[in-house]
Amino acid sequence: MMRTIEAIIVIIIMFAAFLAASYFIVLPSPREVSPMNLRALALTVLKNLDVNGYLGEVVFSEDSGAWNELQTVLSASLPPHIAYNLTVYEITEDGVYVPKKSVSNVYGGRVSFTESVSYMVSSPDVTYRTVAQKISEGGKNLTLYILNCADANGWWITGYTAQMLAQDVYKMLSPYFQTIILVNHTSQLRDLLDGKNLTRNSKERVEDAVIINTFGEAVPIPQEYCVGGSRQSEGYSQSGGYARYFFTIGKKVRYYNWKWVSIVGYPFYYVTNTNSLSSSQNNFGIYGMKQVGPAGLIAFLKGLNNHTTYSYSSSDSNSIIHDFGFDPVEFTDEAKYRSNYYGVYPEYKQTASRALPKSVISYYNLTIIAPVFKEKSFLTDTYYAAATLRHKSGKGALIAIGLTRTPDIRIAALALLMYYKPNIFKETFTAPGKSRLVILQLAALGGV
Amino acid sequence: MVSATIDHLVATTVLIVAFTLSMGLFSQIMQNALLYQFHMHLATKCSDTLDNILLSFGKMPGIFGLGDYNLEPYTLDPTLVMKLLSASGPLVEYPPGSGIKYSNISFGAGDYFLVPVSQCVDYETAQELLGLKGLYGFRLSLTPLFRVSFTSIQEGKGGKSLSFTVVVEGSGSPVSNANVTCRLLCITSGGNYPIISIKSMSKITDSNGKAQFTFSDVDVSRNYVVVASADAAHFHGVGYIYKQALTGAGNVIPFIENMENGMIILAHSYDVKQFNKTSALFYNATYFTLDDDWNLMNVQLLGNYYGLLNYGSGTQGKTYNRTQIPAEYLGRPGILVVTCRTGNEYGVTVMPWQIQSLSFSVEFGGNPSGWEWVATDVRHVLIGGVPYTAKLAYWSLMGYQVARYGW
Repeated sequence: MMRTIEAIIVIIIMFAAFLAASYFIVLPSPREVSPMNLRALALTVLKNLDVNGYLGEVVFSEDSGAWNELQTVLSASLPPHIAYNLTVYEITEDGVYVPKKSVSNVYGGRVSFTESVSYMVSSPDVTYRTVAQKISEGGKNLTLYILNCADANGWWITGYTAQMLAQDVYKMLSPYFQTIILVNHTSQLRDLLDGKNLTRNSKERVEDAVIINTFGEAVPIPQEYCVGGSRQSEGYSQSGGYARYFFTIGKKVRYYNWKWVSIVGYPFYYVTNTNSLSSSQNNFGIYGMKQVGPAGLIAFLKGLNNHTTYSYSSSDSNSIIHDFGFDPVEFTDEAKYRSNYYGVYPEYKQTASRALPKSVISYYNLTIIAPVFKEKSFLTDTYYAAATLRHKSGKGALIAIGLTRTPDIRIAALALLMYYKPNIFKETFTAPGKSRLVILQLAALGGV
Repeated sequence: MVSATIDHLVATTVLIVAFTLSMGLFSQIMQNALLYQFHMHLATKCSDTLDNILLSFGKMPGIFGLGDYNLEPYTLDPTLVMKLLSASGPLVEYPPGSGIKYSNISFGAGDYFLVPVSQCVDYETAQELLGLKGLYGFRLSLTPLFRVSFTSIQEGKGGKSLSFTVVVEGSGSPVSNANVTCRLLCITSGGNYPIISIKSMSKITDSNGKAQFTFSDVDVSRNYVVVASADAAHFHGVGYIYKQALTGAGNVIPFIENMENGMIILAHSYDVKQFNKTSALFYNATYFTLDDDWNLMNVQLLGNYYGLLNYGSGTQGKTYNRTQIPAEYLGRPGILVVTCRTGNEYGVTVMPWQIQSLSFSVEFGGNPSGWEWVATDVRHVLIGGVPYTAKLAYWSLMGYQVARYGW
């Protein structure tokens, strides 16, 4: 009997131990075991509200409408079972946190907020931002066309493709132009030469446009202008070959008051079309390309100078450029200033092997505007490595970057910006450094 | 002596029973505690994995992530989101028998987002790149934060007016004082090929998140599409409706053939949905790119953006055509609207370029149903300025265990 009583006592002790252990071992609720990470959620909500500076605007605002909107957006951003309280503290010069305002979706009652995040917001007054002025002429914003034709090959753009350069120049100049259009096919270039808009964008303007040729010394030619094409007479002549095409381009540049940008090398040296000229190569094994030679630039200048008809002279095929070899050309003071102003920083000394002579520039009634590099003399002439050559009639211009490959597209962009000089509007600092601390507290409501 | 023996036997038996019972009770507590530990570990892994996906830059080789290194954290790259292989709809093969499969996000007969599987990131690859293969399963859901819906749609007599109410709601409440702009795309007859004209109107939502719109002096008798964008606190939400998607001969379904160059196949729906009728469809595709203020800007498509789709022998037309979004607009969100006509019936299909342009949602990953414990976590993200909720469901592929033990 005693053993049984002892056993019962042991059992009582064991169950008492179990009860005591059960009392102290409290397992958490499933929600606590696998919780939603409210802290991360709160942080992402605040961060995304601040992406466009919205949170900073509201936090420093006294407008009750702005605070109501913040409350609406917070309520909409968080799941319905989440209670929140957002409090804004001003940090005084003494380092004291003074509560300024708070919004919450909890009215009455008490909620134990389990998670909170802090987020520091700067006053919009101390935000440094810049806005670029859109390039315009005659009060109208200009359209930038970038030649990006899929059916053409580039030359003297070693290490790049025209398409890569097109993307780069697109990114670089997009703040300055209201409309930028990539000319993706030579058929679109044909339409452009006909003065047709390429998109339905009402802001596209063919007149006064800027055209950047990213194909280097080669220029895409639509198939209609090639031999056998419907416009052969405007693209090819027996004596001058495809120089005739550049005469047409020169005429169009003048007619539409375009600014034609040649990004590197000898301008208008080749024509390129991978379909129509598929059996031609440029003597270096690049097919889809036909060499025109120095006559191309002369033909263009004749067109720009409004010669009525194209006539080829054998002297047109004489090179007019000068190669300065290892003697580099250097930025003008204006170029250095504009380089800083626009935040475009190419090397300020470059090798120029295709600089254009002043004598020829003057002969075709062109004015030198905004030279990027200082002029350089050789024998009796003066040469310009990169500048805008505008016709004296005020209609049409050539921006010729006569540098050695490989191209630095930033020079072309800088030359263009130096010509138009768009303003950069900079917001000024109107207040000393002011910051406010935002605390967002969250709690999950409801049962398990 | 006997009684003492019996006493011992009874005492020992009772003790053994009580001991076994108490051990069982203790082990249950310990088992639960371990299980809870596993679940907590799973929740932590879920949170970590979600951050990995949202913050990693997927454009770098060998990495699965949706982040954009040009932008703020938790701002996703829309082009990477486009490449997630959808888990919400069955794969579509087109052309039939070709073996070319398309990831499928569709919400109805007129809403499609079909991208080639070969250009998508699939679930298995994502698991491998995240180091989860064989250990954990997951499903990522990207759902727009603002829901823009339409109620009380009424068409005036003869289709000369259209009125409706736009409702803007967040995940927790209606969105009041949101600026809602509705673009009414009226589909009119332009000879063989239907054409689109646009009217626009803006209103502010009331305290219930509602705004009433009435377009008068319009012709919506044939068909229409309304795209409504709501703006609150620089956040955008988009909703849309159309009158009817289908004609008696089906409609035209757009397939994104190549995401890199924007090539789109416009296919007769007969091959895709096996409609009985193969009648000819005249179609006209219009593409709108969205600017920073969410305005629709009409962009000229390349290729055969209008034409005839036909099955009949000896007649003109093909079963599909190709059009292309110009390269300079591929980086921006846009909306493709394809109108079609057979006889006097007009159908329409819409397709977003970048999912946020029509607030499409995305489901990516495995199926969470049937697993012992599924942990979830959410983040707030932006896709092209549109707030989305990113939710990750996460489970262990090892049952109760969360790590494989081996000797």
